[in-house]
Order: sequence, then C-alpha cells, then structure tokens
Amino acid sequence: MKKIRSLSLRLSLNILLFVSVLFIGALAVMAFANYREIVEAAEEATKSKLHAMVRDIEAPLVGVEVSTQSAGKFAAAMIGDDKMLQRITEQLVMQDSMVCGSTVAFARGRHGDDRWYAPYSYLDADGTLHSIQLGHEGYDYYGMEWFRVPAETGQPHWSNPYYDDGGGQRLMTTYSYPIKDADGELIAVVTADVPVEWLRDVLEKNKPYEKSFVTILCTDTTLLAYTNEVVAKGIIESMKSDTTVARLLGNMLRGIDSMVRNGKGRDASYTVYEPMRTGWSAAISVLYSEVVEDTNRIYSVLFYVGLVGLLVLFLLCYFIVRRVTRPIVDLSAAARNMSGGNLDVPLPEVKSRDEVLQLRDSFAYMQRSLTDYINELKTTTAANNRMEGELSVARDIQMGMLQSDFPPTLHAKLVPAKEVGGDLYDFMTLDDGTLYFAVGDVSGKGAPAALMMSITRAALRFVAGLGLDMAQAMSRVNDSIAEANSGDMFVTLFIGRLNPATGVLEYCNGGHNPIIVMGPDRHVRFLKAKPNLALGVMEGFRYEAERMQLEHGTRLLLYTDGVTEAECADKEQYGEGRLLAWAGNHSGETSEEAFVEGLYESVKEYTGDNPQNDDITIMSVKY
Amino acid sequence: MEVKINTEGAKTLVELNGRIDTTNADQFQKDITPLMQGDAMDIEMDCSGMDYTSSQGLRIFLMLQKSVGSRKGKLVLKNMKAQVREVFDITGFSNIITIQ
Repeated sequence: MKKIRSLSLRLSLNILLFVSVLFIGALAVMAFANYREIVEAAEEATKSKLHAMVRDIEAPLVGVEVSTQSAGKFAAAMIGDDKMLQRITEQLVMQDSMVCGSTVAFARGRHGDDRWYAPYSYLDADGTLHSIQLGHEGYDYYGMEWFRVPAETGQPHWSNPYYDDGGGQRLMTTYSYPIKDADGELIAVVTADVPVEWLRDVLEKNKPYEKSFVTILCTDTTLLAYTNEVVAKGIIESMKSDTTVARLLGNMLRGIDSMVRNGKGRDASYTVYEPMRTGWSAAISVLYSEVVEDTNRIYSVLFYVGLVGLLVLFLLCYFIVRRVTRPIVDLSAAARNMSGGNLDVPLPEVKSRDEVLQLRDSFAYMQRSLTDYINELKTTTAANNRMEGELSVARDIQMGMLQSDFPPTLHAKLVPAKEVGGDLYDFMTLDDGTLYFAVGDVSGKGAPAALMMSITRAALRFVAGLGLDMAQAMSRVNDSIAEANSGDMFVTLFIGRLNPATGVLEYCNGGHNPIIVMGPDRHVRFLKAKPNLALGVMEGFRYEAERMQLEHGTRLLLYTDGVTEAECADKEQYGEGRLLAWAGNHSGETSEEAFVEGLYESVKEYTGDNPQNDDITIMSVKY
Repeated sequence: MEVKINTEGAKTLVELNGRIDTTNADQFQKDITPLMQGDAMDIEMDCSGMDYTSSQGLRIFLMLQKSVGSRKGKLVLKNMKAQVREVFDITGFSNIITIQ
C-alpha cells in the first residue's frame, strides 16, 4: 500500500505554516515600525541629555566667569596696590569653590620695571592656600594661551585644558579676564584656574548606554574628557582618514550643533554634539546596537514565546484533527474489511454530531443495503439454481414421458427449443390392435407450456384407453384442457388411429398443421382435414372426426410448426413447400427412424447456426 | 411489430404491421393490453400489414377475443394476408374470431 500522509499531520502542518507566516510577518512589521520609533526616540533623548549636560557643565563655569569678572573689575580699580591685588586673588580662590587658583598677571611693562608681575594664589592638595609670584625666568607666561589669547583679542577666554606646571600642578582650564586702561590698552589679565577632573564624572554620569562615548572636544582638537579611552584614541586616529569623523570634528569646532550617523551593522552609531560657551564642543556617541538591545531582548523573548505557542498549536491541531478523523480511519479499515466479504464488521461509534457522523450513517446504510442485497442475491441465486435444477428434472421427466419403444411402423423425434418444451407426441397400440398416435403443440414455451403439455398427454393417454372414437376422444381431451387452462394457452393436436389390418385411418385435427400423406405411388400431399379448433380454447366444442382408407405402403408425416417455421439466418422459414419437396424426395426411405432423422437433419442444415426458437417434433407412421 | 390504436367514437381502430413471433410476442401483448383492460366494445383490427403470427400471437388474439366477448363486445380482424389467414384457419381460430 502507498504510504499516506495522514490528514491530521497535513492539516496541522498547513495551519502551522500559515500561522507562522502570519506571526513572523506581524512581528517583522511591528519590529520595523517599533525599531524606527525607538531609534528616533533614542536620538532625541540623547540630544536632550547632551543639552542638559552642557547646561550642567556650564552653570559652575558661568559662576567662575562672573566671580572672575567682578574680581577683575575690582582689581582694575586697585592697580598700584599690590597687596590688594594679592588679596583679590586669594579672595577669588577662597570664594569660588570651583576655582583652585587665581592670578593678576600684568602685561609687559605695566608694573614698574618688573619683567613679570603676577601674584598667584592657589590651593594645594591639602586645601591650604599658598601665595607666590608666578612670573619668573622659568615661567614666561606671556606666551601661554591663558594670557596670550585675551591679550590679543581683548576678550575673556577659556583656555584649553593643560597641565599647569607653574602653580596648580593639575589638569585645569583657565578663565582669563583682561583689564584695560582708559585707552583700551591691556594692563593685566585676571584669571581663575578651574580643575577639570570633575568633568569626567559629569560625562560618566551622562553616559546614556554602557558603551556610549561622551566627550568634550577642545579647540586644539584635544579631547578634554572622555568616558572611554580606547574609543577616544580611535576617534583621534580616524579623524585623519574618516571623512565623516573629520567633518563631525570640523562642525564641532565651528560651534555647530547637530547629529551624524556613522558606521554600519553592529558598529553603526550616531553622535550628537553641541557647542559650549567655553568654545569647546560636547558630544555623545551611541551605538545603535545598544539602543535596540532591550528591544532586541523583548523581541527574542516574544519570538521564543511565539515558537513555543506555535508548537503547542501544532500539537493541539494534530491531536484534535486526529481525534476527529479517528472514526474516518476506522471507517476506512471497516470498508477494507467489508470489501473482503465481511459485511458484519462493526462500524466505529461516532459521538460528534457532524459530517463524520453523516458519513458513518451513510456507511451504515450502505452496509445494510449491501447486506440485504447480497442476501437477496443469495436467495435469488439459490432459487434460480433450484429452478434450473427443477427445470432440468422436469425436462427429464417430460422426455421420459415420451414413448421411445417405437414399433417398426412408427418413429418420432422431439427436440425442445428450451429446456422444457411445449410439443408432444404419443402413440399406443390399443387392445383391438389399432395404432393410436398423436402430435401436438402447446402455444408458449417453458414450464407453463410443459405443464400444459403434460396435462394434454395425460388426458390423451386416459382417453385413448377408453376406446372412444376420435371425435369423442378429442372433445374429452379439450374439456380436460379447457378446464385446467387458466393462462389462455391452447394446444393444437392431431390424433389418429390406424387399423393395420384394414388400412382404415380415423383422425381428428384440433387446429394442428395439416399432416402429409405419402402414397405408395410416391404422390405426396397434405391431408385435407377439418381444422375444428385448437384445444383449450372453448370448453364443450364439438370436434368432428374423419376417416380414410389408406393404400398399403402409405406413409403419414406428422410435424409441428417448429419444422415449417424453422428460420435460417435471413429469417426465411423452412416452409411447407420445402417440407413437401423433401418428403417427395425421400418417400423411398424404408426405415421410419431414418426418415425422421433425415428430415430433422434437413431442417438443421437449413437453419445452420441460427438458434432453434420453437420445439421441433416429427412423427412418421407407415401402413 | 407495430401497433397503432385509434379511437373513433365507440369504434376502436387498430392497425397491425409486421410479424408476431417469439421475440416480440410479449411486447405485442403489452401493446394490446389497453384493449383488454379498457371497455372498448367494437374493435376493428386492420391486419393488412401483418406478415406472420406465431402460436404465441394466436394466443394473444384468443385472449383479446375472450376479453371482448366477456363484455359482449365485438372483435373483427380485417384484410388479413393469405398466409396469416391460413394459420387462423388451421388452428380453427377463424371459427371463433370474426375475420373479414
């Protein structure tokens, strides 16, 4: 048998496939929209965060600017009072917690003959205030950024971070405020040193994601503070080759705030940047992979939950469908069993009230019908067999009833068309030595005709023994038949009685074919006889008999219409003419048996393979 | 065998054509049945087209005659061909069935 894929498996797989596609499709669409939103939101959030961070950093710096400016204005008024100037620097350091050192550095030639004059106050690591003179041979401050830039521009300035080896000894930035005279000539620069270590903490605090990079880019393109040293170095390196990074840095240095997206795949990132009042630029770089990390986690959880759900769905489908189709499988097994001939196979019970139940009911109906039909067929077949058997028995009986111990002067042959025929013949030598003989034909075929024939023959036998004349005998037979005739059948019958001593033939014709008389002179003719009426048609009909004197050597040929109406393949009948001619040609035959057989052979030869459709009876009587 | 039955008033005209033999006798009986079951009193059969009848055909004519006779009707067979007429004569049926 061919391997079949069960309906339950197929259906479940199809459902699984469909739901999977639906699920994955929905997930993909959702994720696509969601990811975009998340990324955009993250970018916006980073911008806000950066902005807040810049404000956070700038707030104390603004404080430093304000206190330095007021100290500067005060110092401008106190030019000449060195002690006071020293005090002012001390005061600035003490007042502003952001400030770790301060000086009033005089421009060249503005403090007497001193080459340098810059009283400097600072806090050491222990928080102790020290005051020293800053300018000397080893510390020529005129060239230093914190002095040089405000001196040149005449504007306050935040320096890039530097390690001060003159006073503070730590990484710091310096806010410089220039003091000018009435002519606008620079007198001195008042400064406030601000350590920048704290910036690192601020940046660290503002890192939106673990691997994010937060930095401040100074105007000399150094990175003031950053959260990831490796990344910082990478950026500085890539500045030279990567145009995106170079452009980004350029924009940052020009004080533009914006955002760029950079890189691909897992390295894809975006950087938001914003200029600061110090002239620096703050930036936050974020890896997209980090932004979507949480979402990714959510989606993978969703995916695995979905997968488990699909598996459960598949199993559920499989078992439900299998339960539903279980009866179908059972039915199919039952059908196979039934086709093997076992009609009593019990059908599976179906509890559901659905199509399967309908199928089962139809199946049960078919089973019942089939059982009934086969039983009926068995009965019919048995009956047919019995009937055939009975018919063949009937034929045996019928043929047995026919006389076959022919005297030398008489011979007869009866060949039925069907198993049981409607023709008959009979003969008997009566007590007075006369030879009685009869040939008849019952209308119809088969069993009813045979029955009629038996009745007729029995009546004939009975009547013949009574010694009646032929007319009386015929009337009696007719009455017997008419009485028993319920089916509108009739019998044509010719009876005769020949006295072998005298040659007198008495005969009576009951609607039968005319017999042929073959005289010793080889003259052949039909015997003219009153037809009277076929037997069984009318009870009480008065038959008339006739009598004739036969010449010695005369032969009588009796037959039924099975001879004259025998048909060849072209539907043409053997006919009386052919019969008469044949008889004429064979009148010299001495044996009655040979004569009868010869005629039969002639008829058979004529009909050929055409089936015989009527009984054939031939009788020959010789005087 | 072809049987045409026409009713003209009280008279039933029947036209018979062809042969009545073993093969179609049952059909002929079926065709004739309405005449036996009905109440046709005056049946006239035109046998000019009838070529042959077997003894089974005769039996059916006999049945029809008995049926019509039992309700005091009249059956007439007309224009019969000689060879058919001969069968009716031989069996003596022409004695009990009116043949014109």
